[in-house]
Amino acid sequence: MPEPIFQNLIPQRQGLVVGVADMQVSADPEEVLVTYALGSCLGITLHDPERCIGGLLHIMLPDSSLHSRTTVRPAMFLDTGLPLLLETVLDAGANRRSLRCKVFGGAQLLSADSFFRIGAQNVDACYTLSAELGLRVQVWEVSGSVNRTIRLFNRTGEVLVRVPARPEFTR
Amino acid sequence: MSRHASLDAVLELTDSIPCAPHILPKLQQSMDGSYVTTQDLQAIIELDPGLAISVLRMANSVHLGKTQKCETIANAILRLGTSALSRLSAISQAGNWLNQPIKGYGWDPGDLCRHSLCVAVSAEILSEFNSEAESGVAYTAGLIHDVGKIAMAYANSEGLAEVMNLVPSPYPSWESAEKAVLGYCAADVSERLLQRWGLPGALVEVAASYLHPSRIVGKNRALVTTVHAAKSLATELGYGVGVDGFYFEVDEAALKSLNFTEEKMQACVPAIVERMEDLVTPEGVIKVLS
Repeated sequence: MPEPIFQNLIPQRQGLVVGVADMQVSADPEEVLVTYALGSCLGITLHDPERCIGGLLHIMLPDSSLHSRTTVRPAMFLDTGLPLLLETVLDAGANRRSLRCKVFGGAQLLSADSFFRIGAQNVDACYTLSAELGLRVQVWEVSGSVNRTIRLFNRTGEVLVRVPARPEFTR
Repeated sequence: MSRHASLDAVLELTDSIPCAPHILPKLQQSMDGSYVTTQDLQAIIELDPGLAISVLRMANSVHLGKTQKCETIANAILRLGTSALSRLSAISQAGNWLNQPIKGYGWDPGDLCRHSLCVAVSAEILSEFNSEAESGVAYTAGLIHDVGKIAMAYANSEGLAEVMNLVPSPYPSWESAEKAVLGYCAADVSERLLQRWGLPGALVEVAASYLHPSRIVGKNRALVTTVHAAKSLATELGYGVGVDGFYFEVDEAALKSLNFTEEKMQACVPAIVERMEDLVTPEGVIKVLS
């Protein structure tokens, strides 16, 4: 008899959900912000631990200028999304000097020399832009070959990371 | 002698591919209604790999006596008519594999369905972008490309746990580790299942070879390459990607031969995501027509 294939896990779907190319900010200390299946995209959190204000951004691509669309969604691209996340978190009452930044995602396919380097491009661009914006990045949980789902707990600023078939961990 | 289920045993265990539990009732409800268009039916069936395969199997059945194979859901619906679809919706089974996490490939509920949908959408958009493959066929091929993994997850979860421990070292790709542990891989299962069920050669060739389009000689190479590109993009976007997802090699030679470039493919990403937003909620629930 084949072993049962179902695991006794209850999928965690609660929280303020951030879609792909989307952003959410909350000043509710009890709020949990979640984004699913980052792949090569980046999930970036900004959190003020003194005021329990947090924001989560899920960007897909590094550079909006390479996309000639009439309406650019700011949260789709790093260069437009991260400044917007910073501005929105500050507007919500966060203190810029207290802000902690954490970056997740940027997974990569095997042997992708000249194709499908979105993950690496996102990570490289985030190193540069976060420095330009003066953000204090505490955590780089990036690259590798795993699909990450993340949850930001506004009370503590901790981020729970879930990857397929592995134990969850906190960063 | 492997202690895991053989390829033939996996095939014998797989009579059909179940449908997503929340999509099947919608199809049945539509069939019961006084008025339903083929477009309505197509929109529902194209959301689910299990339903898509059932419809294609029935449309390509030898009992219908047609020599021309149906490669798209639209053509299959036209061939079958609503009465046959009504029978099919009544006998289809909802699969509990979509209700719960599944070991083996590390899927959360609905992951394979979300991933298949994203590959289908990506294949359709990429084929419209470079005009090398027929977009309707590319969509269908993308939707059912990983059907063998469902059968593998059911029949060989123990073997897949062993595979997981061998990737990325000593085996860099999931496919090579599956072959080392089991003697065959998910693409072999897909190929044999789709052949057994009488699906068109183009769809069989995609399922068998989408990881290695350079190996294809002949008229289906553009289609297989398009699905390979779509698979890679969908994986990068993360929709429903399991523990195996990132462990395959990009066939750059095949992509270049079809004039794909990284810039061209990245240009398609916003359109893919916007289309996925029409089909899947931010929570990952597949939307069915209201």
